[in-house]
Amino acid sequence: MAYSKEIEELLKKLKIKVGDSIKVARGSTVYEGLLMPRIEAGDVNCLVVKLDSGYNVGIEFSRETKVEKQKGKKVEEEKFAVKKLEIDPKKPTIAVLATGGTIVSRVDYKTGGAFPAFSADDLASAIPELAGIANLRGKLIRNMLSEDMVFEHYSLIAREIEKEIKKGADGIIVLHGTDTMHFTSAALSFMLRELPVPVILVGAQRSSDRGSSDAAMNLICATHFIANSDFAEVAVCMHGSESDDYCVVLPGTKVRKMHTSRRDAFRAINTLPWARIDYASRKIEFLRSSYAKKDKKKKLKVLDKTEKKVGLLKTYPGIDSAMFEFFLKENYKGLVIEGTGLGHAPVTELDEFTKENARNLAILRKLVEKGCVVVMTSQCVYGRVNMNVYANGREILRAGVISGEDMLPEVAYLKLKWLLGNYAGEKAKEMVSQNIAGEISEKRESSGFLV
Amino acid sequence: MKCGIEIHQRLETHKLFCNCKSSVGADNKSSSITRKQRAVAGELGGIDPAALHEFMRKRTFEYQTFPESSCLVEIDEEPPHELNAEALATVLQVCLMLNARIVDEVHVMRKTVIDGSNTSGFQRTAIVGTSGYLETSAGRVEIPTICVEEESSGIVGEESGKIMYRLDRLGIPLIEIATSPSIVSPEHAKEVAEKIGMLLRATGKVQRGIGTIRQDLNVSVDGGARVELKGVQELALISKYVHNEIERQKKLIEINQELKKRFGEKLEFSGEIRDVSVLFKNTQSKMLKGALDSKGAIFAMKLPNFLGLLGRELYENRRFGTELSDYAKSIAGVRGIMHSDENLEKYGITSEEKEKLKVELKVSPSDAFVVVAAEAERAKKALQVVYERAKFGTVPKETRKALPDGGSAYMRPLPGSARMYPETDIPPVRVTARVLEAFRKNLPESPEQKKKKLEGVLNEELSRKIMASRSLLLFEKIIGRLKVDPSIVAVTLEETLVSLKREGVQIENIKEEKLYSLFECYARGLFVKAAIPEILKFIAKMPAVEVESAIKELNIGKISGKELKKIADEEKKDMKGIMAKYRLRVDAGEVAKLLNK
Repeated sequence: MAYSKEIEELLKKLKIKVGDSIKVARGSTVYEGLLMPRIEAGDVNCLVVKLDSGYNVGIEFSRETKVEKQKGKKVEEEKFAVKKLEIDPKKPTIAVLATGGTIVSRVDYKTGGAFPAFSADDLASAIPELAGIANLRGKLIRNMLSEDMVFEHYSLIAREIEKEIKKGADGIIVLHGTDTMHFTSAALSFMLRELPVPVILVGAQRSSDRGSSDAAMNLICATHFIANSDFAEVAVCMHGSESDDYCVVLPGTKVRKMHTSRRDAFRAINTLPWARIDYASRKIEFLRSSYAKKDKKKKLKVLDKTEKKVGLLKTYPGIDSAMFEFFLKENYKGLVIEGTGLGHAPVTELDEFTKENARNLAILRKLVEKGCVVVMTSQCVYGRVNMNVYANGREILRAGVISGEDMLPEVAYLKLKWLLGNYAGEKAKEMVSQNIAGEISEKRESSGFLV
Repeated sequence: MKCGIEIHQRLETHKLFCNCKSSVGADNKSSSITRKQRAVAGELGGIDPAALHEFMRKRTFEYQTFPESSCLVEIDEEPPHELNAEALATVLQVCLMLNARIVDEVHVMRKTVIDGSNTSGFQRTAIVGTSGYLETSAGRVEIPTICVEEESSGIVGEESGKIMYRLDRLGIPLIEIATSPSIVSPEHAKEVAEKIGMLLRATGKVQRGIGTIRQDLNVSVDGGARVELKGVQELALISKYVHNEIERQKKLIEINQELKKRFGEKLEFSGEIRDVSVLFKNTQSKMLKGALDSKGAIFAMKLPNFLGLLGRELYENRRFGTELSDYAKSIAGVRGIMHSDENLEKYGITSEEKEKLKVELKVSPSDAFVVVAAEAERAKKALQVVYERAKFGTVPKETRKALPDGGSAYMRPLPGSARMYPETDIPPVRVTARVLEAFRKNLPESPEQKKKKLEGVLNEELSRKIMASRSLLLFEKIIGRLKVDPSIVAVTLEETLVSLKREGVQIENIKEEKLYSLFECYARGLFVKAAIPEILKFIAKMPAVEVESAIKELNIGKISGKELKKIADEEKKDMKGIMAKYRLRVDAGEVAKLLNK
């Protein structure tokens, strides 16, 4: 309940639980209603009571506060009308794997608590359109905030996908928190080799418990896209604009959350989205055609080992060499640097203020000598790294740092973890600059900027 | 009868959950976005979930954005910021003035709305005070709750399933004051609304002008039902609204009793809807012909035993037939209905056609009938709605829209109890005893104290007018800072401006600063009282011009001293002559004094 110790003790003594009907008197003022759980924010010494009008109020607990349990009144948890789904053999089957986040939460209107609603029946009851498009199979893998995820969770998701594909699924939807959805999409892009069917990650920027949620539209578009196209890549499907007009299908290794809160936060980086799906007409428009096609004869291979000792470091003016040194001391096997501009870091000592820069360079050299694979990317986000243009870049190259090409820093980080986990040292190092899952493009066109 | 009032007043501060300006119509639309909204699982409130879903699916909302008065928060693209502390402070002040108990912690709730008027799908609202009261001439009126909440978007229009809203209005802080149903008469309702209005203005923190305050009235009579009248803006009409609603409910009960007599206990009849288009194949009625020409149809239905009831007056200028027509308009989207209790010739229907219709519908002398011309599905739906309402009998619980003439029209069924759940994006606000004590010490003068003070400087009528006026604060500011006769200020603000408005002068162009500056110039003796209307007229036309320049421009400056003496000599010291020529420029008192020397 998370109330203060005093309140918790009193409630225990009076045998009052959350949801019980209570009467709280403070002086001559009396409040009657249901006891609510204490939400994280606010004063733990205030009782939260839901009045008959539906409003919550906080009442300070002190010696003068009298609390009483009201008998007879008991509120039952709201029943959520769930329809049983019927299977239509003519429609494709899509497995919906939930990992948590805004998209799967549902609010209990009585207590205000959010809890997951993930079964296929739940989903299809909440979004009746889905049943008209495909047969759904739902499973909750985890119920977590995406920022809490670690590499092992990617592996878990990949293995669940494998199971579903073995069971004959025609496509997979992964419901995911949006914070790190692009990390997961990149990880899955590397792990799932020879993918026979599409894997689409879907999130929501507004929770499903509100009328304005983007969850339903994102999910409907993703389902429709899987059921009505020959696409078979790992991708992200989210809003394409601030309006509810179309969704975009974004490449798993070239996608990034570019806004903290907008519906259209997810953007293709250095390339165009794969496709657009018009919400009203359900028309699918491909913007690029070079995608892998559905082929159920393909045999999926899951490469999901990882190297734990891989880091990601953002450089900045005035960076302390201890930052670089950490990776040396801790015996890191891989390091991705999120450098500036074309792939730079402060490595030149030119006056009395820049001694630290020389130390940075020395440590980089030692790291490489020790066998750590160091990859350079850019915090510009857009564009390709090229360390031949300026002196600092050339110095870093000479130290043995590998160019990350036009890989996003996060993608390079996951790729390096994945390479070092699944391939022997030299092979892994060689593969850093080879395109494996669309993370490196041969060329960049003007159209790939700020789309 | 039972009557309660709910008052919504916009507060003079930035928006409740972001830093946008709280102004409607101040800037031009910058762009717009379109959205759908969905019925949320579990959020049924007695409505059939499939029907609600279908209803929502068909509607699209277009939201207009404004550079100064909307941002990502209004379009639901950014979480709300913390509760506007200034708005909360004003509400706390009002709570104290209304003797309410203040909650120790304010919790913002989400109240679900399905009409699209809020981009999020809910309105944010919080209880700040409970158990308040107001002393009135008819005793204490209880005020069970005082809330702070966000204003909804303003509706711009509707076309083929798309509803357009403007977002400059969304999120403006409102204080909501709800009384218990303890109001005893139409006049009492007006008094309560007036008193609360004065109290709100006394804080100096509320917006003024059209649309910034709205009253909703809840009225029911014995044997009637609770009806909510929404959007009353004219304070002067409040008693009329209450009176008309009481009359409406009483008359509806009478009609029901009459029907019971005619039908026996059970009000049962079939509502057969018939396509009668063929009877009007060669009609001369423009309306019917128009409907038929645009591929519509004419449908009719008999209402057995209803003769004379459709034409029965409920209150001035509203008949039972008009009521039925409102339901048809609002629910089926037709332009109206025609019925046998009205003169059908006004629609161009001949008595011959009427007779044919009666034969077709097998109308007996005690029956009535209803005709609708529209697109076939709509026309049928309209008659279905009329049938349901006619069969219902007494008074339905409903929400009605306040009409400008003091009447009301059907709007929608009374909403079930709203879904409320906590707004988890906004931390609760602790109101400590120390904070409250500070507020208590700095409360503005109560309306009673103010009234006493005004009565000391103005006559009874003027002080009453100023007390109830939107210009109260301006009046206080002027007489507090300038040496001018309070009566002249009160007359100008409450009488001169009103009569200028009647003459067609656009007084809304005259800003408060200009009125203040007018009296500042007057205090300096730059012009005489009689010139005030002329100067105001000039400023109404040229709102940017300074008062001093206006005086020069009009050549209306005060003449006194030597110059006045010269004029007096020229006019041979004739008081009448001088005043006739120089009425707007000389002070009569000064002239009299001069002549009496």
